Amino acid sequence: MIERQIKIAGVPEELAKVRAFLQQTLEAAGLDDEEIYQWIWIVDEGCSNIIRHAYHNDPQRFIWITVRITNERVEVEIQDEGEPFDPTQVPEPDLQLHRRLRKKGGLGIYILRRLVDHLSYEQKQHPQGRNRLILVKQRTYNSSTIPS
Amino acid sequence: MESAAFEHTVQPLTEHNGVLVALKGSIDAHNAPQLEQVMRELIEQGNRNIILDLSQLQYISSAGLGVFMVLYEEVQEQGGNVLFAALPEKVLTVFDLLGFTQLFQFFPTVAEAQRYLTSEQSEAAND
Repeated sequence: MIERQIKIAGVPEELAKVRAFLQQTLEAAGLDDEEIYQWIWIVDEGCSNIIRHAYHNDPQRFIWITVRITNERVEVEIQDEGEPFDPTQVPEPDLQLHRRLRKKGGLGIYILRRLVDHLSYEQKQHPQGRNRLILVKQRTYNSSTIPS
Repeated sequence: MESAAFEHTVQPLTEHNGVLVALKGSIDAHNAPQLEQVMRELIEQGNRNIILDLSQLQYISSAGLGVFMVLYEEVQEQGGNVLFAALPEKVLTVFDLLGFTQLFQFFPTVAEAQRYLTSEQSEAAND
C-alpha cells in the first residue's frame, strides 16, 4: 500500500496545492487520467466545503489529507477541526430547480457523493479529536497495478 | 499539471451579437468570483450570446459551475444563450455522469456552437 499525506491551511488559495498533490500521487501510482480527474474533483469539493463552511477562510486552521492506494482501491481521508458537518445527511438536489433558482452553491456534496463508491463520516469535537471524512473508490481495471 | 489560476481570452462574434470566451487553466472556489466578474462585465456590455471554448480547461469545480447556474437563466431571459463548446472528453464524461449535460447546452466544437446560433437567428428571422 502507498500512503501519502498533505496538510493545508483553511483558505481557498490552498486548493491548487491539494490538486497538484493528488495529480502527482495518483499518477505515480499508475491511475489513469479519468480516475485522477475524478479524485481531484472529489477531494477539492470536500476541502472547499470545510474551508467555506467550517473554517470560514481562516488561515490559522488546518486540513489533513491522507491518500491510501492499493491495487484494488483508493481511499482518501480528510480530517478537520471545524464544526462537524455530515455530508451523508445532505439530501440530493434537484439540478433543474437549482439552475432555475440560480443557486450558486450547494453542488459540492452532491458531486462528491456521486463520484465515490463509499463514504463515511466520523465527527469529533475539537480538541478531543478531528472530524474524519473517508472516501473510497475502486480502481478501474486498466490502472490496477501499483508500479514497483 | 494542475495550475492555480485561469486565463481567458475574448473574441467578438459580431454576427451573433456576442462573444467567444476561451477559458484556460483551473477554476475553483478561489478564483470563481473572478470568473463571475468577467462574465458579468461581458453581459453588461450587451453581449447576448456567449460561446465558451473549454478545450483548454483543465479543471472546473462546483464553484465555477455555480457561476453558470446563476448566469444561464439570466442570459436566456434576455433572449440570449450560453453555450459550452469543446469540453475535454474526460471532463464531459464526468459532467454526463453527474447530470450536468442536461442543464446546459454542449457542442463538440466551437464551429458547431456557432452554427447553432446561426440557425437560431435564421429561425427567429422567419418567425
